[in-house]
Amino acid sequence: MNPIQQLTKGFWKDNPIFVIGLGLCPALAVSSSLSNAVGMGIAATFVLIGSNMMISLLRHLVPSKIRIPVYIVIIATFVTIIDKMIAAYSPALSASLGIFIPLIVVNCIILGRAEAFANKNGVFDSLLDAIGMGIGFTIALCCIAFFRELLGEGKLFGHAMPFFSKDPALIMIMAPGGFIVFGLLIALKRLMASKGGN
Amino acid sequence: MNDMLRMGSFLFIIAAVAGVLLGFTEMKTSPRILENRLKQLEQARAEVLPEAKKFNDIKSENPNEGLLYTAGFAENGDLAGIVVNVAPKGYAGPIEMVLGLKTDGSIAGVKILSQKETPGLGTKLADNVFLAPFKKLLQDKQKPVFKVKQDGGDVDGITAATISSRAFCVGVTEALGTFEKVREQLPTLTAPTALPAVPQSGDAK
Repeated sequence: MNPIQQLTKGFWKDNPIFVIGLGLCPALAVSSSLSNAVGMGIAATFVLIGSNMMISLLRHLVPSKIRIPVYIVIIATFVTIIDKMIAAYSPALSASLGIFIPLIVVNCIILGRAEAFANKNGVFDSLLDAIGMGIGFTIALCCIAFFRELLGEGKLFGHAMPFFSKDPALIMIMAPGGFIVFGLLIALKRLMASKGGN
Repeated sequence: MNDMLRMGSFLFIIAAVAGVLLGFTEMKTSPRILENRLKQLEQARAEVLPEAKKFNDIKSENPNEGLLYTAGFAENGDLAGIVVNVAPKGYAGPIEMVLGLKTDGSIAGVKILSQKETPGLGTKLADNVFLAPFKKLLQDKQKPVFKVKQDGGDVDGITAATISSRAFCVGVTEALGTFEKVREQLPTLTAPTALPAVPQSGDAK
């Protein structure tokens, strides 16, 4: 796999949400509006980059039998440090992203990529993988949030849209709506994959 | 056995390094985080009680209770109202709110400082989706009942976030309770003459 493929595989072909099926709980919980989706996506991407590179650096040192607890300690430490740093040095960013950061600890994409990719590959490849997976996660969240916010609130990024804002279907921003949109999007993705060959 | 010792010590080292890093981060960031919070609080005060220019913290005589409320004074030294901090229990932790109350006990402004509600649902408490109708209610009705509509009140809660909406109402009620408690002592208060109330962050306004 060349570097470009390494980077872009997460966007669509191996999308963490639609194909690998990782990180579904934040995907469903936070995708009720586009601005939340973007915020969660960015925060998760930063943590993913840091944890992937760190674990790739340590991959020869960590005894394989206890790798999972070691990864969890590394990821949790990393998330906490980022949370504190943002709160101290960028209060504005903290006000908009701060609420998502504790949610990242339970985001299985982070641990999933550490286990499936970073502990077998070099630092540079792990960096590309993290960026690609982070962007793929953000894209998937935005796709779900686009439909949920538009149909459930008649808005996009908090701005009312003509026609849709008249009688929004509230169920779409609640949990069932998340499952409905998510299921339909996976079906669509698989349909395209079976037609197009990838 | 040897293997177990080796892995145990590795885990120990990793956890120790993580602990040291976390302690160091906490040490470096906590003063700044506190400072940011003070600034935020100062701005929030000015926002919820726009008439007031000077603030004076009123502490309880019982030192364990800490800050009771903050009195706000207009430019000419008249009492403009009080600012009360409340933190009702929300869906996933306390919702820190600041309320500005005018001298007649009516609400001048509300601001959510921090919250841990469900993103996309309970977090709307701080949005205009929820606050704009709430402000309209304050203007339209003389004595609104601060309960969500399901509970027989006047506040239009957030759909799918009733617990958060209820907590908001509890906070408002609590602040009004504080006002009733301190009502008598209000006329005795005088404006601070020298420094602003929170000198650490005097440049925030």
